[in-house]
Amino acid sequence: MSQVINSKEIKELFSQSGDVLVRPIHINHKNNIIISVFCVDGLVNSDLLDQTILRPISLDQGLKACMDEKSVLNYLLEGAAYHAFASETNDYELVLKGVMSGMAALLFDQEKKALLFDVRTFDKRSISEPSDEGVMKGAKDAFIEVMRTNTALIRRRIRSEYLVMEQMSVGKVSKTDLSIAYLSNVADMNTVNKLKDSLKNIDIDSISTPSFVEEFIVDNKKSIFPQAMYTQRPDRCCSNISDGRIGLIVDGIPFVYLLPCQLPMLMQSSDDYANNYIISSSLRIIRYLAMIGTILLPAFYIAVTTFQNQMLPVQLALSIQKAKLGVPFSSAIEVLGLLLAFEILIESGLRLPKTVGTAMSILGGLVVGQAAVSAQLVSPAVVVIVALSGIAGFTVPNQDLSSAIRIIRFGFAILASFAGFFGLMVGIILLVTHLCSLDNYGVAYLSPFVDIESMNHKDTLFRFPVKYFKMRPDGIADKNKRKQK
Amino acid sequence: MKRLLLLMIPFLLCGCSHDMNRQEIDEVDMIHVLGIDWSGENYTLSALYSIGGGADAESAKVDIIQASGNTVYQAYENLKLKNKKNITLAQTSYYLIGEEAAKNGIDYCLDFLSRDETIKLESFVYITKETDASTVLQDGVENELLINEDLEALSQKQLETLTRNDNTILGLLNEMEQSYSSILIPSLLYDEDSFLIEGYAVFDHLQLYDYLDGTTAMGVNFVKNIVRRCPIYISDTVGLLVSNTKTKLKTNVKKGIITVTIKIDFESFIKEVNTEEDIFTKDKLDELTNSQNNYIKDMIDKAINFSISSNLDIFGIARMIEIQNAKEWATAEPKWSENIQDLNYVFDINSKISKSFMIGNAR
Repeated sequence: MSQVINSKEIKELFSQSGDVLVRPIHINHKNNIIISVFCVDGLVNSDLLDQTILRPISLDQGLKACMDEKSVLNYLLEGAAYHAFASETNDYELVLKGVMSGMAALLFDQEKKALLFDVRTFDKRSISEPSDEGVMKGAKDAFIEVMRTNTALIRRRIRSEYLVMEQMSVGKVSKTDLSIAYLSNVADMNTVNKLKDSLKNIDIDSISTPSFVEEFIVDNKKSIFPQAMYTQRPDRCCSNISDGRIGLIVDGIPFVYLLPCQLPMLMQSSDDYANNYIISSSLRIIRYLAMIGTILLPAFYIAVTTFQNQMLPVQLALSIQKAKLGVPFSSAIEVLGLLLAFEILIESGLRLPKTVGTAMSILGGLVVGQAAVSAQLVSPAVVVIVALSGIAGFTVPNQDLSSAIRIIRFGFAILASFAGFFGLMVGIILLVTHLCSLDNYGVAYLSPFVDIESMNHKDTLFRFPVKYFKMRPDGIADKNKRKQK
Repeated sequence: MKRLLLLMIPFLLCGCSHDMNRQEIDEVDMIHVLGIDWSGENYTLSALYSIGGGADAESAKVDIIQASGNTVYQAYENLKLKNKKNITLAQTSYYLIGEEAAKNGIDYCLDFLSRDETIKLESFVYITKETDASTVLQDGVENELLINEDLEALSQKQLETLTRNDNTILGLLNEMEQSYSSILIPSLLYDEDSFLIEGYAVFDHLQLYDYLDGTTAMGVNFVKNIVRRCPIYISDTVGLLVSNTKTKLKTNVKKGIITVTIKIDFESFIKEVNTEEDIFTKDKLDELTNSQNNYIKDMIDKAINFSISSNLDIFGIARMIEIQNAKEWATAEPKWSENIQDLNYVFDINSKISKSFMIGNAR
């Protein structure tokens, strides 16, 4: 049985919390009508609370004429309180949740009801430039940690009556708000319902970090590859929502998840749509090549220097041979060791303050690298290969995909050190098989590459001119598949 | 099942790594040039390899190691035993075959190589004319020549006149399968610390038969349609450069008579004029055109005469008939060696003299 609204019980419940305010207000001494204000200091805008709720309550003569709580409640609802967002409820949980999220409640003990007023305020970051997805040409705003601001940023760009923002809360303790944004006349409702089911089934205490949501909404939890794309950019989010994808906005997380997610999406950069399509296509091809390079280059080096050196041109083989003379380790150990050192360098750079991080990179990358070569601990060729592989990895626009690739290249290097190109091929087969087996909300992860029927390749390897983007991506949009004539 | 498979993969790969030529690149001596000689009793291999690695000319030093054996393979195994480090043919770009080894049979030299999975199939094979491969290599090392670089320059130079080099291991292995045609391998003339390609070494049944001189070899190249450019000199007064050549061979068998039509189209540029006479008149240009046609015809005639006199199919005509006249080939095949001398050659040579790139009249 649910609890009833009672100010004494609530006061008792929060007796140890100094920031929670439960204050009685006498409306009519004669009839002993006492209501209570229930709010959290710091979450409510006290000026707004004073001016729009408490001041009318104190001064309004009509209220004093009310004979019971019911008439006070109705009087306030009918306009005595100068506030647009007021709602009546007898749901104890809703009152608690509302107040904990920054609303103010007037508690009516006899009526066992409450009036909720949206007087939320809290310190928030202003809208700034996206830190990860900056563009030269294009919008400079980015999502922030406040869900309502983020929904407003989307709503500002999609002024369609079909844009739906379904709100939910997740987390037994944190009761984090989240919003599912989609176009009801385009999006596949099966996907929307599936996402809602996934969110409803989340049974954890709090949503404190992105992966607390992410791990519950992806289909293949054991895969290293990101299956929910995130973006800091409202323009990118809106373009995907208008394609039929679903945006998931979580309060406290300064980006929006986009579902279903396919690999080609993760290789697209916001710049692709800001530049000339020929430039964008060229850069995209370079990005794909860099991705392949970063995975295969260390393994390829191990394979050719340990097993199949006939694949190298004579001059290159001789150069590598000379560079390796005197180095006590095998190529495989050299490459794996340096890859590990590279990861340590990245990790330490992230943990340190920015200024120290830069110095750390210089110290680690240049000084230690040079010293290691001079001390003949590693050959210069391996330093070049690992550096190239590392730099190529940073061309991948999505950080999650980039991290996945960084891990995978270790696997490839190990396979190549066992069996050269044979191992490399085994790795490629396993990787391709895995990627082909991934399915995300009913859409293949490698779609449209693996979609035989689809001819919608106009925004995959190449970025065609916008006039050719006639259809929405296959398998994403359920209705209104045509975008333009 | 999936987990079992994933667990099995590392074990399988571990097993594979035992027999997959696993050797670190710095733990092997890479042979750049391999010389093969036959002394009448056994084969001698001379391997030229770098000491201390390095691709730059300053630091690159080469050494030579030799070993003998009853067969090429045995000699190679002995070579491995003699060398401190393991050796590999993976980076061998040039194979020099001594004249005696070539006379003994090219198949004996190439059989071992054709079975080695590490060799580069695009490596070049040359015959060292009138000398042993080991002599060439040893002289080169003694004179501090970088023979591998000289050979590389030579093969590049070959491509200036020819559209392709047919003397690769792969090309030769393919040619060896054509039993009715003779193999042609460029012959290398080593003289006074320098190399020169002088025509072809001609093989009869895989044994060295004779050499073709430069002009005759060019005639063969014209018939084979592999000429990129060829300088010709007409009567000491005009020098021309032939280019854009296109040769079509057509065979026709009628009443047992095999006719080979050689159709050649080419262009030429005037490169030198050593006469006061104006050669750019229409009549003179027509005359020059006829002269250059005859010049090319003479070159091909030389090659044909060699073919007839030696009774060797140096143009690969047998294969041509087999493709173009499959039915007639069945009757011609048994007595092909007799037919070579009776082949009827018909020429259709067309050419034109193009713009001469003359900046000004020097005379």
